[in-house]
Amino acid sequence: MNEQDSGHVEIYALRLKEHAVRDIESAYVRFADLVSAEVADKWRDGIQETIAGLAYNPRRYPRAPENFQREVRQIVYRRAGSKVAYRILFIVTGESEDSSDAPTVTILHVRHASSRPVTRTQARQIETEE
Amino acid sequence: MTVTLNLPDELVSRLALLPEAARDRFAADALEDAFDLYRQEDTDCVTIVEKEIAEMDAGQGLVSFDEVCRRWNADRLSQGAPDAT
Repeated sequence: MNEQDSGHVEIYALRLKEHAVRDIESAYVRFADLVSAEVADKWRDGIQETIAGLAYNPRRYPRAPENFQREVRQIVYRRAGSKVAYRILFIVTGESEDSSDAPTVTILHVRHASSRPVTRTQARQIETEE
Repeated sequence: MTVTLNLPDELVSRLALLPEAARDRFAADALEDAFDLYRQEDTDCVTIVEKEIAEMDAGQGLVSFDEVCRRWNADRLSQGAPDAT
């Protein structure tokens, strides 16, 4: 945890680019179409929890492998036992003492680990692995 | 160069139907296509993320996580499902 001398744990503000929200909603719709609304809801609940967890020490997650100009990190969201993985790409800002902004995590983009749309077979894996 | 791959049984049985020369050519073509796709995906990802960072720096297209959660909960309630929170 990112603790200061006082034992205070830094909590990062969380925000998303609208593009990232659309990424998640597109995947949600695809799961709902391919499997069921219930499975889609569970998938979205899971990614919601994962993003919420970034409020604490987001730098514990690795840098994304691509050559970005800025320090972009990623967390891979995969429901327990599932092979269907999504990369959540984010950036951390506002940490320097001279910054006027609060420490913030911004979700920039969410993409299927292979970037290709999830297949019906992959979507069904989520259902069977419940 | 020889590459050993662990393929799903279904794919193995389909590949076994091809003559060996055709199978080798098929495998090499598939790997080349996959590699091209991988490079293209990498380029696409960088393009999208750099654009999103530029917009973020300009304060554009941002929404708080709390607001997104509210939207999703409203969406769920409108479908008659129980609240996730």
